[in-house]
Parts: sequence; C-alpha cells; structure tokens
Amino acid sequence: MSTQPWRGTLIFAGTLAAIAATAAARFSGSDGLAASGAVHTGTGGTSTGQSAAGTTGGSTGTSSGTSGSSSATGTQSGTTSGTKTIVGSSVQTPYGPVQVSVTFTSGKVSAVQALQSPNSHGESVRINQYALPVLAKEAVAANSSNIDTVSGATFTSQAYAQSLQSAIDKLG
Amino acid sequence: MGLPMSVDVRRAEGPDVQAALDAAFAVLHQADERFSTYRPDSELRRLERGEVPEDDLSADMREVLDLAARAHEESGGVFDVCTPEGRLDTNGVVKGWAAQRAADVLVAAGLRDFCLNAGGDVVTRGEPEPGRAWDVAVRHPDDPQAVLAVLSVTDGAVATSGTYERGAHVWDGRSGSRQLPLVAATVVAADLTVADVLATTVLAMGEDGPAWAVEHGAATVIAVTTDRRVITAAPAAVSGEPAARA
Repeated sequence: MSTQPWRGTLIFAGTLAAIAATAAARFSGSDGLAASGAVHTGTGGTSTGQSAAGTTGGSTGTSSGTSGSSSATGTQSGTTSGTKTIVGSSVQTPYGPVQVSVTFTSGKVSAVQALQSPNSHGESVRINQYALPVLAKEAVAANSSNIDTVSGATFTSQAYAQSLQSAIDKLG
Repeated sequence: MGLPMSVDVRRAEGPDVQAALDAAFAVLHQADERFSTYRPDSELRRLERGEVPEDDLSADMREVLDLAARAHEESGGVFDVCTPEGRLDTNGVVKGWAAQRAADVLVAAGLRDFCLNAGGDVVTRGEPEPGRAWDVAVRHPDDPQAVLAVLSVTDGAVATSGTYERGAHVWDGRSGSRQLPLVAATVVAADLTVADVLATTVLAMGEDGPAWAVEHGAATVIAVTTDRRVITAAPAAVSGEPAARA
C-alpha cells in the first residue's frame, strides 16, 4: 500500500447541469445552458482535468491551488472506534454564537447537545437581513474557526463563483 | 450553469485517488442522465410520458421513487415529486442521493478523510487534520459570502435547501403552493440522502418543519423564515456530556 499524500481540492461543475439549467429556465425564464466545466486543482499529487460530458465546456474560473503544504498527511491517530462526534465549535457570527454538537455511533445519532443560538435554545432569533458584506477571502482567513466548506443552495456556477465555497476551493 | 462539486481529500493513503474521484463523478453523471428534467430522453422524462413500463424501470429509478414515496408519506404529503404543474421532478431527492453515492464510492475506494460538496450539500468523512472536525459553514440566505452558522462534522452530512438561488423550485405538496414561509433550511444527518430530503421538506413545511425533521432523522436543523427569524431544532440529549472541543 503506497502512501500518496494528496492534499487538494477538486472542482467539478457540470454534473447535474441539466437539473440546474432546467430549473432556472423554468422559473426565471433566464438563459439556457451557459458555460460549465471543470478544474482540478491539487498539490503534490495527480492533477488531471475532469471534463463534463454533455456540457458546453468552459470553466468556472477557479485557479489552481498551490498551497504546497502537506501538513494533513502523515500520522494516523488511531481513530478507529465507531463513535464519531460532531463537535460544535462555538462560532461568533454576525448574529451571535452558534454551536452544535452531535455524536454519531456507527452512523446513528447517539448524543446531541442542544444547538446554541444567540438566545437560549429553542428561541427564535432574528438575523440581520442586511448582513455586512464580507469578503470571501477575509472570511476564510480571519474566521475564528477554519471553514472547510460551505453548505448552501448553490446550483449555478455563477453563484458558485461568488460564494465562500469558491474562495475556499481557491485556497486549495 | 452547472452544479459545482468539489472534493477535498486529505491524508489519502493507498488508493488511487484519481480513479476514485473519476468513479465518484461517474455516479453523478449517471444520475444526471437518468433523472434530468430537461433531457427529453432521460428515464425520468420517458417515465413521465408513460413510455417506460413498470417492469422496465431501472433499479436507480425505483430506489429514488421509493425514497420519494416514503418522504411523501412521512411528511403528510408535503414532499412530492409531482409538481403543481403536473410534471415529475425528483430533484428534491436526487441531488443528495447521488452525492451520497458518490461519497460512498470514495469510502469504498479507501479514502478516509474527505469532504465532498455537491451544490452546497456536503458529506464529510474523517478529519481534515488529526484532532479536528470538518467545519461546515452554513451560508447566510441573503449574502453568499456571509456565514450563518458553522457546524463541525466528522462523519456526517449537511444539506441546505433555500429559495434564494433557484427561486421557487420547491413546493408544498399539500397545497401546491410555491410561496413558502421559509427562505432556507439546513439539516445535519448521518447520511446526505436523508439530510437532503429533510431539508427540502422542511423548506416546504414551514415553521413546523424543524421539529418534524428531528423526529425523522435530523441531528440538527437550522431554518430561516421569510422575516429572518432563525428556528433551530435538535434532538434532546440522549446520553452524557458531548465531547468538548479544545
């Protein structure tokens, strides 16, 4: 078993393009299939372009990451038990601290700590509808925690391009 | 346009990472071809036109329709693959289902530490670095670059459905309405197939959605109403103290 340090992010746009394109066309009557494509970025490992079959080519505009660091490779810390914990990093957001902790045992939720919101658990809290714009790069670099990825309804490459996830992928 | 998908692989040992990624993407391509709502020759479109006899349905189509049927039943009809316009639309199931299968391919190939993000739906395995969980930010519904919350996840899934990007792509199967009381719903679960269906359902269900989702497999739910209130829900603690984070 060879060891191949590979620390990188692979970006793929184009899969399920049909779904996104249809939805957009149907509900907003906007443009049809625009450019989609794929960029594969990585360091210290293989780097082969992925092309999206049946799409129209192009690129999402991500650049290759050259972090050059492979700090994530190496030692295995014997984490072989079936219990995994989602540990809540209490993160200061513009709307207050948010925290959650969940433990999965063999894929089943076995323990959950209540989500902490700016108010006590269970209460609704109003967020600022006009959040201060945060430069993606700054948000990634300055965030108290390391944001590894972003969950959001991101269906189009246009939206992706301006998203935090895009910035994270660029950091490679 | 396209669904952006990224895979962040850490500490890959042994397996051929590229081959594993290729196989994972192939899963998504296949799902796209089969369940596309716009390709006239997709199995979904052929099924909609009544051109596919019951016995000829693919195993994948059966699986997806079964998932949808179960979600329809469990949600009291809120989740529905039949659109108000009378079309067949499995998008509420397929994205999470396909991305979870792609992640399963990576696991089967031996990858232990990775984070897969398909259009904002996330599967995490292992750790980005020893001793740290993957930190998954939840996008603010009004600002693509602002963070609403950060969830730390080792082996799990986070799905978000929102009206902020694709518009009214989700509907309430009970009323057929596309006017929804929530603008976004995020669900954490052990599996992305579950998380995605729950997130879609919560979005359509409204303020009762988060509590409902917790009863149906959600580990955590974060929902934002149209007037920008945040509603959260999580199961009551089952056992002792959660692991502390340094």
